[in-house]
Amino acid sequence: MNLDYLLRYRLAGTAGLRLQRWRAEWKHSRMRPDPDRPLNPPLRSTIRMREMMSRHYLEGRHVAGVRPVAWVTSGAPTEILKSMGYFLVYPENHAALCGARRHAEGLSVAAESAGYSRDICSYARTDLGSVLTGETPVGNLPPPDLLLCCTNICQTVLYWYRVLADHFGCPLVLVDTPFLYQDVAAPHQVAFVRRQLEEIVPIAEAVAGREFSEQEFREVVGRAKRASDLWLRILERARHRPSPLTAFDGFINLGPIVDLRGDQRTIDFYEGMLAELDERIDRGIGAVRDERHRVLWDNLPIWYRIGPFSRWLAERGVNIVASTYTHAWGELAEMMDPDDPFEAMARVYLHPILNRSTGHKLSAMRRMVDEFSIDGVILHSDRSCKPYSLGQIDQRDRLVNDVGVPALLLEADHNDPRSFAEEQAMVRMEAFVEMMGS
Amino acid sequence: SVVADFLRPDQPVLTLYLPRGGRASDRSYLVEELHRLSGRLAEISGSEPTAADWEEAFLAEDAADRALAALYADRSHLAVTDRRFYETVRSREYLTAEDFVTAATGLPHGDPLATGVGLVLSGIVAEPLELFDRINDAGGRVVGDDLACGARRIYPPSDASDPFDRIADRLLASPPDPTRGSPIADRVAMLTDLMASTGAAGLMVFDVPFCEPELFDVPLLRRHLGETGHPMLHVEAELAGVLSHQALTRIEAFVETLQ
Repeated sequence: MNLDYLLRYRLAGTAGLRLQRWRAEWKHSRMRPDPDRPLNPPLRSTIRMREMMSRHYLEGRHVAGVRPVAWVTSGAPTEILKSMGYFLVYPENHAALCGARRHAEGLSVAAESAGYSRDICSYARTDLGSVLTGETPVGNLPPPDLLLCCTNICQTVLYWYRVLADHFGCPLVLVDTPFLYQDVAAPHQVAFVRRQLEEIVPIAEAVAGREFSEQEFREVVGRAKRASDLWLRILERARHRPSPLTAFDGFINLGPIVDLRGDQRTIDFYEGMLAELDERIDRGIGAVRDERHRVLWDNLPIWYRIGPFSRWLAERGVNIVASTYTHAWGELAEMMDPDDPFEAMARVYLHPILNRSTGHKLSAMRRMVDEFSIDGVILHSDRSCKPYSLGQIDQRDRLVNDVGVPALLLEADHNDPRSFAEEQAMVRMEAFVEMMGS
Repeated sequence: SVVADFLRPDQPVLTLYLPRGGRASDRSYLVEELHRLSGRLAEISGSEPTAADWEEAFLAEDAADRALAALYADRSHLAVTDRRFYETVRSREYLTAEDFVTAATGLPHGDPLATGVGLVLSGIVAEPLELFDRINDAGGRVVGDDLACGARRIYPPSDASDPFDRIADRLLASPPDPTRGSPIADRVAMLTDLMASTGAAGLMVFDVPFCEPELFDVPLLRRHLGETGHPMLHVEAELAGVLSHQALTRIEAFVETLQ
């Protein structure tokens, strides 16, 4: 056992974080609903989530040489690596964290100074800027021993991870998922992905110096399934009026299901969060004090505006109760099967919303409008995320004309504040809210 | 997807997903994907190709591929402008195989009409074609390329007997291409060899804005090629009818520095 890892992470670090959580929970227990505030007190569970994610990044600062490290895409089949003891770093989650903490612009500028175009994904620019400068709000990120890239969220990650492979000089493992133009994956598509999952094993074994265990893999898949199912149930609690949570709560508490999927602590956390939401429902406590309008959000969040947006909307009685983005990590839970893990995970990783047709996304939004009693839809036209944004004009038109709900196409960027025109956006948001009210 | 789901033309919308690797699993998948596409085409046309039909088609397409490769091999002995050369190369996209062979073999031989410092051109598409005139006017000439619509389409022949294996082999063995996820090192090695064999003085990467497969590679190409003493210019230009003065000025300045 590495002494630095033991002392700084296992002992002092986790104890310090636990102390911070107790302090924050004590403060939270003293909060009371304030009639002058548009939002009710935040979810107590978020405090525990912050501890979990802080602990994960703290371990990352001391894990090099202790556990094998893999950098992975958010849609990657990480269960195989997790079963082999890999420490996982999600550059997208790190980039989102940088965006939320307003570090992304500086890191993007650093990447642009190194020659990376401002027209590439802002997550990638944030990550490459961090890699090139070594700067990060989480202390430091452990360099990868292996990169795992899955194209089920976009093709951009392939180009991005090729650059990382060149920089770090480590193996890049690709899981290429054919785009699903049809409703269900064809047998040859499933077979292709399954074979690629199986091909991960010998490479991961060679890098980790450890044998793969199918039993451990099944157990991790089982826990991932349970956590994904819990996450979906949490999101579905927003069907209640008033909703006990907002989509912003979803964006913030997404971290564990993405980064720590397959861990028992993730199951424990989401069970606690679900219980807290049920308690709120029983007591009639909504996240927004005076919920008058319910909105669906499409696309990634605008990370650097989460707090201000949440408050601005709540002041107008608007609750964003659902999002296509957060649903992506729950809606495939029923496909996961620990008894046939490779076959099942091949299907799971083929079917995320971003790997499916624009028609499928429209159907999903139509269903959510109905299930969540939606009064309006905001489609974030994300400059950096072409796959998520392509087709939104047509989707918006059909939501307005066929479904009969107001739908706003809001131009911004999920991580680069330079691509967000505040005045313009807020004028349009104001008009949209008025439209829902009329 | 947008075309199929929202525009909904009267014609069926068919798709082919090219795998992003060169592994055995990629090949197996591609063969099945080609079978699927072929099946749909047979349904639509009401016609199933015979072995003789396949052989005839392969003979024609292989001849066209050879003619394209020969164009590139012979370019320093063709008495044509760069613009004419690339008009002919691009005609591979829309002419029948037979007509392309006629066009390609019909170019006059002699000393190239363009003289000046040699450039290798890289990117997806080199448009507008006026680009080639402006390079020549500035005192440069294109001696090689790594264009997605050019040299990356020189597919090597395959001797597989099964038609689907044969098509898959050709596609997967094509030159390094970032749109197919080829490792950067492969593209750098190919460009380094190309620059050496053609005696090119510099590389011009000509991209459309927002083209991520190209844009992610640019800084690494610049660094790796810089290490071997090859200067590089990156120009972004819209696929519009006219080359912007901004782009023109940069191209002229680059050629000047190479002279």
